Amino acid sequence: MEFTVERADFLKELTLSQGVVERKTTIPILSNILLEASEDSLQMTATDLELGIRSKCSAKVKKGGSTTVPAKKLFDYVRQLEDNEIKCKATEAAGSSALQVSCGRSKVRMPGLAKENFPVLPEFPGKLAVLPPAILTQMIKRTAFAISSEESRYTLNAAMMILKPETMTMVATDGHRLAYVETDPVVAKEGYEGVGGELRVLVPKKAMTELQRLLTDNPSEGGIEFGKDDNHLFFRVGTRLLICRMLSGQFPNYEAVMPKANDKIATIEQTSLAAAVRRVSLFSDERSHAIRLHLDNDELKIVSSGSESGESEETMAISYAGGPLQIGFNWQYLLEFLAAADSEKVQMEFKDEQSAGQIRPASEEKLRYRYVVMPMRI
Amino acid sequence: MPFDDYYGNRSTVDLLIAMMARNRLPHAILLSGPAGIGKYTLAQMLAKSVHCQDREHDFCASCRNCRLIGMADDRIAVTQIAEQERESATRKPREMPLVIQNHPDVVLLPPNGPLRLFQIEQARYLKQALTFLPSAGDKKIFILPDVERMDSAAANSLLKSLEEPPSHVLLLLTTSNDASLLPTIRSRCVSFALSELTREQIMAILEKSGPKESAKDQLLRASLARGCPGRALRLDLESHLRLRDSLMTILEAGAAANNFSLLFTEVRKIAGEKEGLENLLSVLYSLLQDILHLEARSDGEPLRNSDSPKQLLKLAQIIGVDGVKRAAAALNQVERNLRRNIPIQISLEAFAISLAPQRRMSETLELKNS
Repeated sequence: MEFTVERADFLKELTLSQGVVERKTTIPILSNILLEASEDSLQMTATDLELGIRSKCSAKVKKGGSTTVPAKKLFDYVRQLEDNEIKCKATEAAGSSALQVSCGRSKVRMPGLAKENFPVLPEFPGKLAVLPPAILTQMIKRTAFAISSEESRYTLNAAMMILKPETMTMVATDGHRLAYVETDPVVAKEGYEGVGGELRVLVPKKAMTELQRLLTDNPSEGGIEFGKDDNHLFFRVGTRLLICRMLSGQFPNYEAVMPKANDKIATIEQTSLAAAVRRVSLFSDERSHAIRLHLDNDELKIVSSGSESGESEETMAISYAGGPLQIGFNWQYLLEFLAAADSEKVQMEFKDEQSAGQIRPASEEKLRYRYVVMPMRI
Repeated sequence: MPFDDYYGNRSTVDLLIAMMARNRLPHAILLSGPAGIGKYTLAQMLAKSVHCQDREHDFCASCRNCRLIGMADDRIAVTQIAEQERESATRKPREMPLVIQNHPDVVLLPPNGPLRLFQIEQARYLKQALTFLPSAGDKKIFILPDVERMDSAAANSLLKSLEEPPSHVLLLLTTSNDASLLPTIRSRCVSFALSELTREQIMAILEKSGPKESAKDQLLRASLARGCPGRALRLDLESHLRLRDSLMTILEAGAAANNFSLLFTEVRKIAGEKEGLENLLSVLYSLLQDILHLEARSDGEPLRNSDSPKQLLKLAQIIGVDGVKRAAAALNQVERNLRRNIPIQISLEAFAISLAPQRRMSETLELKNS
């Protein structure tokens, strides 16, 4: 194998692989990246067996072929290089393969592992749906933080994605709060092509973050092609393909959790609420993270008291006419929502101090965003 | 048909094959039997035949899947390599789960580290990895060898996964001491006990894949293996014999209560050796067993230490059946001491001295009295 690539192109694709390459386990081949050169392009594959990424960049190929080299080392080296043109050549000697990389006056030889042991990733099976990148990015941003990291409830370690002909929905929960976001049918006109009927899949947390990285630096104009076979999910963005092993298991019945009769409605300015909660949170109990909201007659009082840190109180003017109400929350849950909400005003809807509260942006266009938080008894 | 390469325990193997043919393998299988009997070998064979691309009733051992799974056939070697790799990959190797996964759907989680323990991190990894569907095919296999090396925290955290894993999961556990497992673990697995092979079967295995050596050594190797082919193949005959001979000297000196200085030198020699201590007890037991056979004039099972009948006979005359009984009890104490990290030198000396006939004491007293 012998080829020449532009440093910038090469580096961009190598960066993508870094998030996927395995660091936590001891399977040597997984810390390698598979390089395959053919015709006029170089294909790169990295995987941790649960998630895989395959991407391409254009290259002048002298001789086709393939090899695997340590992904982190290659990335670190290419990042340090200064010249624009990188020449790579694979050498085989006495059963061990190696990759020679040269660029300007720099030159390096890296030992590789046999390509045969690299896991075979499935091919894209054809698209089922097309998702608009901007919308998907926003949906991930609004739900990913609510995914549980508790290992015992493994179906919560993923977000549920529901595709319908006109809309798509993403739901994530950790059992204490739930983030739900659904697209408005308007989005169908902006490049969303749904599936016939309904498709429900679980997207693991790591896949969500990688997908987001893929989208933030996305040179292609088109939408994300979504595909699925028996065991994998596929997201194709231009020449890049994210392959994700599917999770098994039953996602909780989230529809039953969404509050229906929350009639005490408060409308609050988002940034000032976030700032107030952040200040009050400094004096909350360190273990429970609890703060208390008092709502009455267009006024919101936020109170916290920790056994050692002291007490803190903030008042702010809001629009509220639902009668006096006291309710406790974990401040982290509130702040995470406020950071993701992206709206000038948020609307909080309550029933009483023992029922779940629902928060949402006060005005919404393309996305219907709902956030359900369980109250704390304090 | 490579399952035919598996020696012994035919009925168990046939049962497993039949279960597999009807797609009725239980979700968790516990293979138990003495060390070296072939539990892991059988687990590997099961994994291969589940994933073989070219199978009829069995696995081919040559397709890509079989080859990938087969890369971990030598468990001790791959565990060592993985440990070295982990050592160089991180500064805190204990916190990184040791996972060996040559085939994407077959995961080996061996006990590791200086204490050869199953890590809690491995349990966490297992729980998380369980939920992902297999990458190809319909089963994801987790092999957990020597589950008795699991502490109760790790074992308890796996109960839920063992009881009700997702339907695509097959858990293969092996143990050489199923009595020491938590009953809650045992009851969640379908357990298969593997029993010792005959000496002829072991001879056949040695003939095929054992080291090249004289027929006499081979016979000795087979009889020392106590029915376990793995032990026969791995046995370092020379050092084993050396250990055995010094133990014989110790037994003799202790039982005859005459040459204590020789006893102490030999004990110090054994205690000085770093390796082979885990064999110590089994060698001692095998000697006692042979003495019992000799004393009982049994002519059924031939002697294990068949190469030195004369010395054994002499030992048997000194120790006698009653002596064997006492020695076995004392050896039990040594085993317990070892587990409590009492230095081997002290417990071995105590053991040897306790063999000295107590009647000596009374005899001397009588002599004095008269």
